[in-house]
Amino acid sequence: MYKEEFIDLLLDNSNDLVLLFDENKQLLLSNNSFNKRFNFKLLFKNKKEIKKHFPPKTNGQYLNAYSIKSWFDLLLAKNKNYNLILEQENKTYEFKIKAIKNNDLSIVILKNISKINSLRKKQIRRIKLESIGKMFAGMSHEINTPLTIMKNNLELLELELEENSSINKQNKHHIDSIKSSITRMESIVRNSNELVKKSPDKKKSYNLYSVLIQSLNLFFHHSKNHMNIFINNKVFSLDIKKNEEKIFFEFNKDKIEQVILILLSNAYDEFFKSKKDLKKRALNIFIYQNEKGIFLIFRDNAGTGINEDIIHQIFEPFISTKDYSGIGLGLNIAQKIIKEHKGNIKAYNQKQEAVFEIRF
Amino acid sequence: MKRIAIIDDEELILDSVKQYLSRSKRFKIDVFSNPQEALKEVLRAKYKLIVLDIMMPELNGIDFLEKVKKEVPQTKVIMMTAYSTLDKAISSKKIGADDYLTKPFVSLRDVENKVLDCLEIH
Repeated sequence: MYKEEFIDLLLDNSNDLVLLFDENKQLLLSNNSFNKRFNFKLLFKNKKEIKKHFPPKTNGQYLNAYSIKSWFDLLLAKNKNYNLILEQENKTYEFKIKAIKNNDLSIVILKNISKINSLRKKQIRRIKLESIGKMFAGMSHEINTPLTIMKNNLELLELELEENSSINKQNKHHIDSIKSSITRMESIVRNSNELVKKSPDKKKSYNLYSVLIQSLNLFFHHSKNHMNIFINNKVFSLDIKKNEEKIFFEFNKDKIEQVILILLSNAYDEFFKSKKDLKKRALNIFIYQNEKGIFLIFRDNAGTGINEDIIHQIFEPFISTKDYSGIGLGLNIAQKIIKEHKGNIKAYNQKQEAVFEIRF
Repeated sequence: MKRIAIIDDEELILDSVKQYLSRSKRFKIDVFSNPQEALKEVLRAKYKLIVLDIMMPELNGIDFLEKVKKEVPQTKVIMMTAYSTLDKAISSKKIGADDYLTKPFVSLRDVENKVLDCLEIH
Protein backbone atom coordinates (compact mmCIF):
# COMPACT_ATOMS: atom_id res chain seq x y z
CA MET A 1 0.00 0.00 0.00
CA TYR A 2 2.70 2.36 1.04
CA LYS A 3 4.62 1.54 -2.12
CA GLU A 4 1.64 2.24 -4.39
CA GLU A 5 0.99 5.59 -2.74
CA PHE A 6 4.60 6.42 -3.10
CA ILE A 7 4.57 5.56 -6.82
CA ASP A 8 1.33 7.51 -7.36
CA LEU A 9 2.83 10.53 -5.69
CA LEU A 10 5.94 10.32 -7.77
CA LEU A 11 4.10 9.86 -11.04
CA ASP A 12 1.51 12.54 -10.42
CA ASN A 13 4.17 15.09 -9.74
CA SER A 14 6.06 14.33 -12.88
CA ASN A 15 5.87 16.66 -15.86
CA ASP A 16 6.41 13.69 -18.12
CA LEU A 17 3.42 11.73 -19.33
CA VAL A 18 3.56 8.25 -17.85
CA LEU A 19 1.59 5.06 -18.50
CA LEU A 20 1.91 1.74 -16.73
CA PHE A 21 0.81 -1.55 -18.31
CA ASP A 22 0.53 -4.98 -16.79
CA GLU A 23 1.83 -8.17 -18.37
CA ASN A 24 -1.43 -8.51 -20.35
CA LYS A 25 -0.87 -5.06 -21.77
CA GLN A 26 -3.82 -3.72 -19.85
CA LEU A 27 -3.44 -0.16 -18.77
CA LEU A 28 -2.85 -0.01 -15.04
CA LEU A 29 -2.56 3.71 -14.59
CA SER A 30 -1.89 6.98 -16.26
CA ASN A 31 -0.49 9.91 -14.35
CA ASN A 32 -1.94 13.43 -13.98
CA SER A 33 0.18 14.89 -16.78
CA PHE A 34 -1.09 12.29 -19.23
CA ASN A 35 -4.70 12.69 -18.15
CA LYS A 36 -4.48 16.44 -18.50
CA ARG A 37 -2.83 16.34 -21.91
CA PHE A 38 -5.17 13.77 -23.47
CA ASN A 39 -8.28 14.57 -21.51
CA PHE A 40 -8.06 10.94 -20.60
CA LYS A 41 -11.01 10.67 -18.28
CA LEU A 42 -13.32 11.88 -20.98
CA LEU A 43 -11.80 9.37 -23.28
CA PHE A 44 -13.54 6.54 -21.57
CA LYS A 45 -16.72 8.43 -20.88
CA ASN A 46 -17.71 9.75 -24.22
CA LYS A 47 -16.88 8.29 -27.58
CA LYS A 48 -17.41 11.63 -29.37
CA GLU A 49 -14.81 13.19 -27.16
CA ILE A 50 -12.46 10.39 -28.06
CA LYS A 51 -12.84 11.21 -31.71
CA LYS A 52 -12.09 14.83 -30.99
CA HIS A 53 -8.71 14.04 -29.54
CA PHE A 54 -7.83 10.88 -31.39
CA PRO A 55 -6.52 9.73 -33.71
CA PRO A 56 -3.55 12.05 -33.44
CA LYS A 57 -1.26 11.88 -36.39
CA THR A 58 1.91 10.13 -35.36
CA ASN A 59 4.99 9.47 -37.50
CA GLY A 60 2.91 8.30 -40.39
CA GLN A 61 0.83 6.05 -38.16
CA TYR A 62 -2.66 6.75 -36.90
CA LEU A 63 -3.73 6.08 -33.41
CA ASN A 64 -7.15 4.54 -33.30
CA ALA A 65 -9.21 5.56 -30.32
CA TYR A 66 -10.46 2.03 -29.83
CA SER A 67 -7.11 0.41 -30.11
CA ILE A 68 -5.12 2.40 -27.64
CA LYS A 69 -3.83 -0.92 -26.41
CA SER A 70 -2.42 -1.85 -29.78
CA TRP A 71 -0.85 1.58 -30.10
CA PHE A 72 1.01 1.06 -26.89
CA ASP A 73 1.79 -2.46 -28.05
CA LEU A 74 3.57 -0.79 -30.88
CA LEU A 75 5.38 1.56 -28.53
CA LEU A 76 6.43 -1.29 -26.35
CA ALA A 77 7.47 -3.40 -29.29
CA LYS A 78 9.84 -0.69 -30.41
CA ASN A 79 11.42 -0.88 -27.00
CA LYS A 80 13.62 2.08 -27.83
CA ASN A 81 13.40 5.83 -27.95
CA TYR A 82 11.58 7.55 -30.69
CA ASN A 83 9.66 10.75 -31.25
CA LEU A 84 5.98 11.28 -31.65
CA ILE A 85 4.58 14.33 -33.35
CA LEU A 86 1.09 15.03 -32.16
CA GLU A 87 -1.25 17.54 -33.71
CA GLN A 88 -3.92 18.60 -31.31
CA GLU A 89 -6.21 21.63 -31.52
CA ASN A 90 -4.06 23.22 -34.23
CA LYS A 91 -0.95 22.96 -32.10
CA THR A 92 1.94 20.62 -32.67
CA TYR A 93 3.50 18.80 -29.77
CA GLU A 94 6.58 16.72 -29.95
CA PHE A 95 7.21 13.90 -27.50
CA LYS A 96 10.19 11.75 -26.95
CA ILE A 97 8.86 8.32 -26.14
CA LYS A 98 10.64 5.87 -23.96
CA ALA A 99 9.17 2.43 -23.48
CA ILE A 100 10.59 0.10 -20.89
CA LYS A 101 9.42 -3.48 -20.83
CA ASN A 102 9.78 -5.75 -17.88
CA ASN A 103 8.38 -9.18 -17.24
CA ASP A 104 5.20 -8.11 -15.56
CA LEU A 105 5.22 -4.36 -16.00
CA SER A 106 5.74 -1.97 -18.86
CA ILE A 107 6.26 1.74 -18.56
CA VAL A 108 5.76 4.24 -21.35
CA ILE A 109 7.10 7.73 -20.74
CA LEU A 110 6.22 10.57 -23.08
CA LYS A 111 8.51 13.51 -22.55
CA ASN A 112 7.25 16.75 -24.03
CA ILE A 113 10.17 18.14 -25.98
CA SER A 114 8.23 20.74 -28.01
CA LYS A 115 9.66 23.61 -25.98
CA ILE A 116 13.19 22.23 -25.98
CA ASN A 117 13.04 21.74 -29.73
CA SER A 118 11.65 25.16 -30.43
CA LEU A 119 14.33 26.68 -28.17
CA ARG A 120 17.00 24.68 -29.96
CA LYS A 121 15.71 25.78 -33.35
CA LYS A 122 15.64 29.40 -32.17
CA GLN A 123 19.19 29.08 -30.88
CA ILE A 124 20.44 27.63 -34.16
CA ARG A 125 18.72 30.40 -36.05
CA ARG A 126 20.22 33.03 -33.77
CA ILE A 127 23.71 31.59 -34.23
CA LYS A 128 23.23 31.48 -38.01
CA LEU A 129 22.04 35.08 -38.08
CA GLU A 130 24.87 36.20 -35.85
CA SER A 131 27.49 34.56 -38.05
CA ILE A 132 26.03 36.01 -41.22
CA GLY A 133 25.70 39.37 -39.50
CA LYS A 134 29.32 39.30 -38.40
CA MET A 135 30.40 38.48 -41.92
CA PHE A 136 28.32 41.37 -43.27
CA ALA A 137 29.66 43.73 -40.62
CA GLY A 138 33.22 42.88 -41.63
CA MET A 139 32.41 43.33 -45.28
CA SER A 140 30.51 46.54 -44.68
CA HIS A 141 33.49 48.06 -42.94
CA GLU A 142 35.58 47.33 -46.00
CA ILE A 143 32.93 48.83 -48.28
CA ASN A 144 32.57 51.96 -46.15
CA THR A 145 36.06 53.20 -46.93
CA PRO A 146 35.69 53.31 -50.74
CA LEU A 147 32.15 54.68 -50.25
CA THR A 148 33.55 57.54 -48.14
CA ILE A 149 36.16 58.26 -50.80
CA MET A 150 33.55 58.23 -53.57
CA LYS A 151 31.19 60.47 -51.65
CA ASN A 152 33.89 62.97 -50.64
CA ASN A 153 35.30 63.24 -54.14
CA LEU A 154 31.89 63.62 -55.69
CA GLU A 155 31.20 66.51 -53.34
CA LEU A 156 34.53 68.11 -54.27
CA LEU A 157 33.86 67.59 -57.96
CA GLU A 158 30.43 69.22 -57.70
CA LEU A 159 31.89 72.14 -55.80
CA GLU A 160 34.65 72.66 -58.36
CA LEU A 161 32.21 72.56 -61.23
CA GLU A 162 29.92 75.03 -59.47
CA GLU A 163 32.79 77.36 -58.69
CA ASN A 164 33.94 77.34 -62.29
CA SER A 165 30.33 77.92 -63.34
CA SER A 166 30.80 75.02 -65.69
CA ILE A 167 28.11 72.79 -64.25
CA ASN A 168 25.13 72.22 -66.51
CA LYS A 169 21.82 70.46 -66.03
CA GLN A 170 23.11 67.23 -67.48
CA ASN A 171 26.16 67.18 -65.17
CA LYS A 172 23.91 67.90 -62.22
CA HIS A 173 21.69 64.99 -63.21
CA HIS A 174 24.67 62.60 -63.39
CA ILE A 175 25.94 63.79 -60.02
CA ASP A 176 22.52 63.38 -58.41
CA SER A 177 22.22 59.87 -59.79
CA ILE A 178 25.58 58.89 -58.34
CA LYS A 179 24.64 60.53 -55.05
CA SER A 180 21.40 58.62 -54.74
CA SER A 181 23.17 55.36 -55.61
CA ILE A 182 25.74 56.02 -52.91
CA THR A 183 22.91 56.71 -50.46
CA ARG A 184 21.38 53.39 -51.42
CA MET A 185 24.68 51.58 -50.87
CA GLU A 186 25.08 53.28 -47.52
CA SER A 187 21.66 52.07 -46.54
CA ILE A 188 22.53 48.48 -47.53
CA VAL A 189 25.71 48.63 -45.49
CA ARG A 190 23.87 50.05 -42.50
CA ASN A 191 21.17 47.41 -42.76
CA SER A 192 23.71 44.62 -42.65
CA ASN A 193 25.08 46.06 -39.43
CA GLU A 194 21.66 46.06 -37.82
CA LEU A 195 21.78 42.28 -37.76
CA VAL A 196 24.52 42.11 -35.21
CA LYS A 197 24.34 45.14 -33.10
CA LYS A 198 22.04 47.39 -31.29
CA SER A 199 22.87 50.88 -32.33
CA PRO A 200 22.71 53.45 -29.59
CA ASP A 201 19.30 54.69 -28.72
CA LYS A 202 19.05 58.30 -29.77
CA LYS A 203 15.34 58.96 -29.44
CA LYS A 204 14.30 62.59 -29.66
CA SER A 205 11.16 64.39 -30.66
CA TYR A 206 11.01 64.71 -34.47
CA ASN A 207 8.37 65.40 -37.07
CA LEU A 208 7.70 62.08 -38.80
CA TYR A 209 6.32 63.95 -41.82
CA SER A 210 9.64 65.87 -42.25
CA VAL A 211 11.65 62.67 -41.95
CA LEU A 212 9.46 61.05 -44.62
CA ILE A 213 9.87 64.01 -46.99
CA GLN A 214 13.64 64.08 -46.46
CA SER A 215 13.89 60.37 -47.26
CA LEU A 216 11.74 60.85 -50.35
CA ASN A 217 13.94 63.73 -51.50
CA LEU A 218 16.96 61.45 -51.28
CA PHE A 219 15.18 58.70 -53.14
CA PHE A 220 13.40 60.73 -55.78
CA HIS A 221 16.17 60.90 -58.42
CA HIS A 222 16.48 57.20 -58.19
CA SER A 223 12.79 56.41 -58.47
CA LYS A 224 11.17 59.05 -60.62
CA ASN A 225 11.49 57.11 -63.86
CA HIS A 226 9.96 54.00 -62.37
CA MET A 227 7.11 55.08 -60.15
CA ASN A 228 4.80 57.92 -59.15
CA ILE A 229 4.71 58.69 -55.48
CA PHE A 230 1.68 60.17 -53.73
CA ILE A 231 1.54 61.39 -50.17
CA ASN A 232 -1.94 61.51 -48.68
CA ASN A 233 -3.23 61.46 -52.28
CA LYS A 234 -1.04 64.42 -53.38
CA VAL A 235 1.65 63.89 -56.02
CA PHE A 236 5.08 64.02 -54.43
CA SER A 237 7.55 66.52 -55.85
CA LEU A 238 10.75 68.08 -54.56
CA ASP A 239 8.76 71.25 -53.83
CA ILE A 240 6.75 69.73 -51.00
CA LYS A 241 7.62 71.51 -47.77
CA LYS A 242 8.84 69.17 -45.09
CA ASN A 243 6.94 70.96 -42.35
CA GLU A 244 3.67 71.09 -44.23
CA GLU A 245 2.27 68.65 -41.71
CA LYS A 246 3.29 68.09 -38.13
CA ILE A 247 3.37 64.65 -36.56
CA PHE A 248 5.78 64.92 -33.66
CA PHE A 249 6.79 62.10 -31.36
CA GLU A 250 9.98 60.62 -29.92
CA PHE A 251 11.90 58.30 -32.22
CA ASN A 252 15.35 57.49 -33.50
CA LYS A 253 15.56 59.51 -36.70
CA ASP A 254 18.30 57.45 -38.36
CA LYS A 255 16.46 54.22 -37.77
CA ILE A 256 13.04 55.39 -38.91
CA GLU A 257 14.70 56.85 -42.01
CA GLN A 258 16.17 53.42 -42.58
CA VAL A 259 12.72 51.78 -42.34
CA ILE A 260 11.32 54.29 -44.84
CA LEU A 261 14.21 53.61 -47.23
CA ILE A 262 13.67 49.86 -46.92
CA LEU A 263 9.98 50.21 -47.82
CA LEU A 264 10.77 52.64 -50.65
CA SER A 265 13.48 50.35 -52.05
CA ASN A 266 11.15 47.35 -51.90
CA ALA A 267 8.43 49.23 -53.77
CA TYR A 268 11.02 50.46 -56.28
CA ASP A 269 12.25 46.90 -56.90
CA GLU A 270 8.69 45.74 -57.53
CA PHE A 271 8.06 48.58 -59.99
CA PHE A 272 11.40 47.93 -61.64
CA LYS A 273 10.23 44.50 -62.77
CA SER A 274 6.64 45.64 -63.43
CA LYS A 275 5.49 45.97 -67.03
CA LYS A 276 2.85 48.52 -66.11
CA ASP A 277 2.71 51.83 -67.91
CA LEU A 278 4.56 54.49 -65.88
CA LYS A 279 1.46 56.69 -65.76
CA LYS A 280 -0.48 53.96 -63.97
CA ARG A 281 2.23 53.15 -61.43
CA ALA A 282 1.50 54.48 -57.98
CA LEU A 283 3.13 54.21 -54.62
CA ASN A 284 0.61 55.71 -52.24
CA ILE A 285 1.97 56.80 -48.90
CA PHE A 286 -0.44 57.74 -46.16
CA ILE A 287 0.74 59.48 -43.04
CA TYR A 288 -1.71 60.55 -40.36
CA GLN A 289 -2.51 60.54 -36.71
CA ASN A 290 -5.79 59.61 -35.04
CA GLU A 291 -7.02 58.25 -31.70
CA LYS A 292 -5.63 54.80 -32.62
CA GLY A 293 -2.10 56.09 -33.10
CA ILE A 294 0.29 57.39 -35.73
CA PHE A 295 0.08 55.62 -39.07
CA LEU A 296 2.53 55.39 -41.92
CA ILE A 297 1.20 53.26 -44.77
CA PHE A 298 2.86 52.29 -48.06
CA ARG A 299 0.59 50.87 -50.74
CA ASP A 300 1.90 50.01 -54.20
CA ASN A 301 0.21 48.70 -57.34
CA ALA A 302 3.39 47.26 -58.89
CA GLY A 303 2.05 43.73 -59.10
CA THR A 304 -1.05 42.01 -57.83
CA GLY A 305 -0.14 42.26 -54.19
CA ILE A 306 2.19 40.28 -51.98
CA ASN A 307 2.55 36.61 -52.85
CA GLU A 308 0.09 34.76 -50.59
CA ASP A 309 2.58 31.90 -50.14
CA ILE A 310 5.03 34.08 -48.24
CA ILE A 311 2.84 36.84 -46.82
CA HIS A 312 2.60 35.16 -43.40
CA GLN A 313 6.37 34.95 -43.09
CA ILE A 314 7.37 38.09 -44.94
CA PHE A 315 9.06 39.60 -41.89
CA GLU A 316 11.20 36.50 -41.35
CA PRO A 317 14.85 36.89 -42.40
CA PHE A 318 15.90 35.53 -45.80
CA ILE A 319 12.39 35.62 -47.20
CA SER A 320 12.55 37.42 -50.52
CA THR A 321 10.43 37.74 -53.61
CA LYS A 322 13.34 39.11 -55.58
CA ASP A 323 15.11 36.61 -57.72
CA TYR A 324 17.68 39.03 -59.02
CA SER A 325 18.55 41.07 -55.96
CA GLY A 326 18.02 41.27 -52.27
CA ILE A 327 18.59 38.66 -49.63
CA GLY A 328 15.42 39.15 -47.68
CA LEU A 329 16.67 41.08 -44.67
CA GLY A 330 15.07 44.49 -45.19
CA LEU A 331 11.64 43.80 -43.76
CA ASN A 332 13.11 41.81 -40.89
CA ILE A 333 15.26 44.81 -39.96
CA ALA A 334 12.32 47.16 -40.43
CA GLN A 335 10.22 45.06 -38.07
CA LYS A 336 13.04 44.98 -35.52
CA ILE A 337 13.31 48.77 -35.61
CA ILE A 338 9.55 49.32 -35.37
CA LYS A 339 9.37 46.92 -32.40
CA GLU A 340 12.17 48.89 -30.72
CA HIS A 341 9.84 51.88 -31.02
CA LYS A 342 7.01 49.86 -29.47
CA GLY A 343 5.18 50.06 -32.78
CA ASN A 344 3.75 47.49 -35.09
CA ILE A 345 4.27 46.73 -38.78
CA LYS A 346 2.03 44.49 -40.82
CA ALA A 347 1.77 43.42 -44.43
CA TYR A 348 -1.44 42.67 -46.27
CA ASN A 349 -3.09 42.96 -49.67
CA GLN A 350 -5.85 45.37 -50.46
CA LYS A 351 -7.56 45.33 -53.85
CA GLN A 352 -4.56 43.49 -55.31
CA GLU A 353 -2.16 46.10 -53.98
CA ALA A 354 0.62 45.38 -51.49
CA VAL A 355 0.24 47.27 -48.23
CA PHE A 356 2.75 47.79 -45.47
CA GLU A 357 1.25 49.48 -42.47
CA ILE A 358 3.23 50.90 -39.59
CA ARG A 359 1.50 52.05 -36.45
CA PHE A 360 3.18 53.83 -33.56
CA MET B 1 45.44 79.84 -38.75
CA LYS B 2 44.57 76.98 -36.39
CA ARG B 3 46.74 73.90 -36.68
CA ILE B 4 44.85 70.70 -37.14
CA ALA B 5 45.93 67.12 -37.84
CA ILE B 6 43.93 64.46 -39.65
CA ILE B 7 44.91 60.87 -38.99
CA ASP B 8 43.59 57.96 -41.05
CA ASP B 9 45.33 55.02 -42.67
CA GLU B 10 43.39 55.68 -45.89
CA GLU B 11 45.30 58.29 -47.88
CA LEU B 12 42.45 59.01 -50.27
CA ILE B 13 40.22 59.97 -47.36
CA LEU B 14 42.97 62.21 -45.97
CA ASP B 15 43.36 63.89 -49.37
CA SER B 16 39.69 64.68 -49.81
CA VAL B 17 39.15 65.95 -46.26
CA LYS B 18 42.30 68.07 -46.41
CA GLN B 19 41.32 69.50 -49.75
CA TYR B 20 37.89 70.52 -48.51
CA LEU B 21 39.05 71.97 -45.21
CA SER B 22 41.84 73.93 -46.92
CA ARG B 23 39.31 75.85 -48.98
CA SER B 24 38.42 78.29 -46.20
CA LYS B 25 42.12 79.03 -45.50
CA ARG B 26 41.30 78.99 -41.79
CA PHE B 27 43.42 75.97 -40.93
CA LYS B 28 46.93 74.74 -41.31
CA ILE B 29 46.40 71.07 -41.94
CA ASP B 30 48.79 68.13 -41.50
CA VAL B 31 47.73 64.66 -42.51
CA PHE B 32 49.13 61.32 -41.31
CA SER B 33 48.47 57.83 -42.60
CA ASN B 34 50.81 56.22 -40.07
CA PRO B 35 49.36 56.45 -36.54
CA GLN B 36 52.71 55.89 -34.78
CA GLU B 37 54.33 58.79 -36.59
CA ALA B 38 51.20 60.84 -36.08
CA LEU B 39 51.29 60.28 -32.31
CA LYS B 40 54.90 61.49 -32.04
CA GLU B 41 54.02 64.61 -33.96
CA VAL B 42 50.77 65.26 -32.10
CA LEU B 43 52.55 65.04 -28.74
CA ARG B 44 55.30 67.34 -29.95
CA ALA B 45 53.53 69.98 -32.00
CA LYS B 46 50.68 71.93 -30.51
CA TYR B 47 47.60 71.08 -32.51
CA LYS B 48 44.33 72.77 -31.64
CA LEU B 49 42.41 69.81 -33.00
CA ILE B 50 42.95 66.34 -34.35
CA VAL B 51 40.52 64.35 -36.47
CA LEU B 52 41.24 60.71 -35.70
CA ASP B 53 40.11 57.45 -37.25
CA ILE B 54 39.26 54.62 -34.84
CA MET B 55 40.15 51.56 -36.91
CA MET B 56 43.83 51.81 -37.74
CA PRO B 57 46.55 49.18 -37.87
CA GLU B 58 49.33 49.18 -35.24
CA LEU B 59 47.74 51.80 -33.04
CA ASN B 60 44.00 52.11 -32.80
CA GLY B 61 42.22 55.41 -32.37
CA ILE B 62 41.04 54.71 -28.82
CA ASP B 63 44.57 54.06 -27.49
CA PHE B 64 45.76 57.07 -29.48
CA LEU B 65 43.04 59.23 -27.89
CA GLU B 66 43.97 58.09 -24.36
CA LYS B 67 47.60 59.08 -24.91
CA VAL B 68 46.61 62.47 -26.35
CA LYS B 69 44.23 63.23 -23.49
CA LYS B 70 46.93 62.28 -20.97
CA GLU B 71 49.82 64.22 -22.53
CA VAL B 72 48.19 67.15 -24.31
CA PRO B 73 44.67 67.40 -22.82
CA GLN B 74 44.00 70.81 -24.35
CA THR B 75 44.01 69.29 -27.85
CA LYS B 76 40.46 68.77 -29.10
CA VAL B 77 39.71 65.43 -30.72
CA ILE B 78 37.05 64.40 -33.23
CA MET B 79 36.83 60.65 -33.77
CA MET B 80 35.97 59.14 -37.15
CA THR B 81 34.32 55.79 -37.42
CA ALA B 82 32.32 53.55 -39.70
CA TYR B 83 28.76 52.88 -38.61
CA SER B 84 29.70 49.35 -37.50
CA THR B 85 31.95 50.74 -34.76
CA LEU B 86 29.70 53.63 -33.80
CA ASP B 87 29.48 52.36 -30.21
CA LYS B 88 33.25 52.78 -29.90
CA ALA B 89 33.01 56.37 -31.07
CA ILE B 90 30.28 57.13 -28.59
CA SER B 91 32.15 55.50 -25.72
CA SER B 92 35.28 57.42 -26.76
CA LYS B 93 33.47 60.54 -25.55
CA LYS B 94 33.83 59.16 -22.04
CA ILE B 95 37.61 59.23 -22.36
CA GLY B 96 37.66 62.75 -23.63
CA ALA B 97 36.77 62.82 -27.32
CA ASP B 98 34.96 66.05 -28.13
CA ASP B 99 32.83 64.78 -31.00
CA TYR B 100 32.60 62.04 -33.59
CA LEU B 101 31.90 61.63 -37.30
CA THR B 102 30.51 58.54 -38.98
CA LYS B 103 31.89 57.35 -42.31
CA PRO B 104 30.70 57.84 -44.98
CA PHE B 105 30.30 61.44 -43.81
CA VAL B 106 26.95 63.15 -44.23
CA SER B 107 28.99 65.59 -46.32
CA LEU B 108 32.39 67.25 -46.21
CA ARG B 109 30.56 70.41 -45.24
CA ASP B 110 29.32 68.54 -42.17
CA VAL B 111 32.94 67.61 -41.33
CA GLU B 112 33.91 71.27 -41.58
CA ASN B 113 30.96 72.31 -39.40
CA LYS B 114 32.00 69.87 -36.68
CA VAL B 115 35.58 71.14 -36.83
CA LEU B 116 34.37 74.74 -36.55
CA ASP B 117 32.04 73.89 -33.66
CA CYS B 118 34.79 72.07 -31.85
CA LEU B 119 37.16 75.00 -32.23
CA GLU B 120 34.32 77.36 -31.34
CA ILE B 121 34.77 79.33 -34.56
CA HIS B 122 31.51 80.80 -35.76
